[in-house]
Amino acid sequence: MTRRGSLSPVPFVLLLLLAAGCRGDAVDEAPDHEVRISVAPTPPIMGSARVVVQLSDGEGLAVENAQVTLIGDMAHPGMTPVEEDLEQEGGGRYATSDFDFTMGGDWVLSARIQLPDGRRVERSRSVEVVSLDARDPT
Amino acid sequence: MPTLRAETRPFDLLRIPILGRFLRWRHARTVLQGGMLGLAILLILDGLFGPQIAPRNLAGVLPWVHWRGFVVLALLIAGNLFCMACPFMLPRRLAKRLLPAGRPWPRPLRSKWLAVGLLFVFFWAYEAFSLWQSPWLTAWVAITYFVAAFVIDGFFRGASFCKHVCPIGQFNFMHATVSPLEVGVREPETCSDCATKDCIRGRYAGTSAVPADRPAVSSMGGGGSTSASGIATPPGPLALDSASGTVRLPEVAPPPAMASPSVGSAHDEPAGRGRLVQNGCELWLFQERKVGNVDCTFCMECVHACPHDNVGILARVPGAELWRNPWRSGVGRLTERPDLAGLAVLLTFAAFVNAFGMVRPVQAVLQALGRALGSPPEALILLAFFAGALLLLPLLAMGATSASSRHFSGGQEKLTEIGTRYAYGLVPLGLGMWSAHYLFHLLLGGLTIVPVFHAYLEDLNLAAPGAPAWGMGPMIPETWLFPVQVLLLQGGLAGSLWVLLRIARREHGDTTRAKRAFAPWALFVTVLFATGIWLLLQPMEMRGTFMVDG
Repeated sequence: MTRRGSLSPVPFVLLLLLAAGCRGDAVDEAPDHEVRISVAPTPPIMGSARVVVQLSDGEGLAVENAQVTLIGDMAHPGMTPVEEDLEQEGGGRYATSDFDFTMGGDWVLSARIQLPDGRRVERSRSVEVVSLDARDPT
Repeated sequence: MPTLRAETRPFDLLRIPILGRFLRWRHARTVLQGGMLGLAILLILDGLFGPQIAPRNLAGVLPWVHWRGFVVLALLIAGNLFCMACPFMLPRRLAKRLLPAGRPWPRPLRSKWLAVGLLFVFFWAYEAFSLWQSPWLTAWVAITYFVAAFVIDGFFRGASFCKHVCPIGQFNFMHATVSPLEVGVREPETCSDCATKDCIRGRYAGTSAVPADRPAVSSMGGGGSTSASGIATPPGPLALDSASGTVRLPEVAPPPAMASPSVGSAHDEPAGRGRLVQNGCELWLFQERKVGNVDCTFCMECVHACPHDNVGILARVPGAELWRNPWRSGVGRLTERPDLAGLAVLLTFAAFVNAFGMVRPVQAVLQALGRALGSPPEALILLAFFAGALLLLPLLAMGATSASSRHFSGGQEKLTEIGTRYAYGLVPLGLGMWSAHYLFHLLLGGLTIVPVFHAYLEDLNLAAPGAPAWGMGPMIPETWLFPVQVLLLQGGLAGSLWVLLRIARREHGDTTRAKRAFAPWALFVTVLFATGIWLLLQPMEMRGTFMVDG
């Protein structure tokens, strides 16, 4: 006896698995490029901070005219991320002086970059942000 | 028959026009489980293959923001709905077909102590491995859960995994004691007259729903093949042993242990009974003697099995089952279950410790502990911290409070007996703290699922046009969060004080002695409540050890 109208979930699951396997960690179409993310003050304190992204190519030359967006995610899921477009300062430097760390704790800063030739790069680093009242009162 | 419900006909969720009809539908649970299974598959896939930044991964957001929040919300406003929709039970059906699921659960493990140990390990691992910020590890926790449920229920009778192993299940069972709904009998007289007891035995093809030729069953007993200590016993004549609290089924009944969800499989055909077409309760809760929500997964098997349509999802007084102490099918008396009391204490303290792990002072405590221990690895420091906070501190606090209660009331009982009686009074406050914590995350970040899912689809080239709206997050104004948290904690304190007072009155009558016995427990939960308020006022600093390369 054959079963009619039954839809096996196996192909769907396999398709999903295959598709999910294509979902990478971060875009990196220019692996030879170097991206440095620095934060001041160090360690960063809850509230506004200056964040600089230094971008250079595989030969160590500064990359100008890129579009750089900085995204800050709290390590814990469920917190609204902070997103800021950085301004070009010259010498491959892209910066903001008003990046808002809304909470103390572990953050992941991701620089999402579109190079002048259209290639995309994304690099991340973690930073530990200190709560306002955690500073030394002296 | 013991009941926690009002004399008047209570609200019955199954009588609600659309929802009730859906829940009475034979495949309703499978549909709910299917939805949760789909989410679990997405979680596992994204956890293994997606971006390893927890706020941008379904394995970060779904379990640690949404699932936990909705679990406590469901417990507060309804009941154990998440065991009802548990996705881990779907592959288990296959296990019941493929594996010899006939072994009895080992006698030394027939209590909650194993689950208490697993919960302790989980709470430690949650911090030691920062599960909340590792989608990859979270996916493996889910996979481990599926495998464990599959293997355990593939080799052992009934729902051994749910009853004796599952840490999530124990969390739900214990806190569902405070829920306003329970699966229960509508008309006790109908059960007294019932000859088939399908709610516990299951129903077999070829047998009429209400056969007249079966021997009547003593109304004082209740099937369930369980003892007061939650021990499953082989089926036998249905009778209540008042000394041991053991209830046995009649010889003519198929063993409930055979009543697996693998309807129609070879395992379900005891000689002369025909094919199983409907399970009875696999956690050995016999409706006629079932009291409250402990060990009830809201699986609805009893609802479907009852030939008299006499089982509903009924309103009751939340928390009343914590101070009443009747003999309960499949559970026994709460006062004779130190394992259940231990579970209540562990979960209550864990509520505070888990929240403490998210605020800044925990760093100072761990650093001091690390220095005192000679700077061992972080996992060992955390192990020492959890051993102190979840084992030693509760033991000392319960011991001291029990001793004070005994001293003031002039009693002679053992401290363990007193502690076991009053431990259940901590549950409302524990749920209040869990709710304040988990609903904080849900209310603050509930909408983050929208951009996360959008990004997931975008990466698969399946998304609608437009960029993910990463600014979405709070479900209510952020200024409301603290008042909501305080309200939940206050509700928990009020509930605990009321339950503890009722326990004291149960033990000593409405006397001055009862008030004296109650006073130390009132102080205990008030101190816990104050600790909770202090925790809520601390600056949050969510830290872990997971690093992302720059």
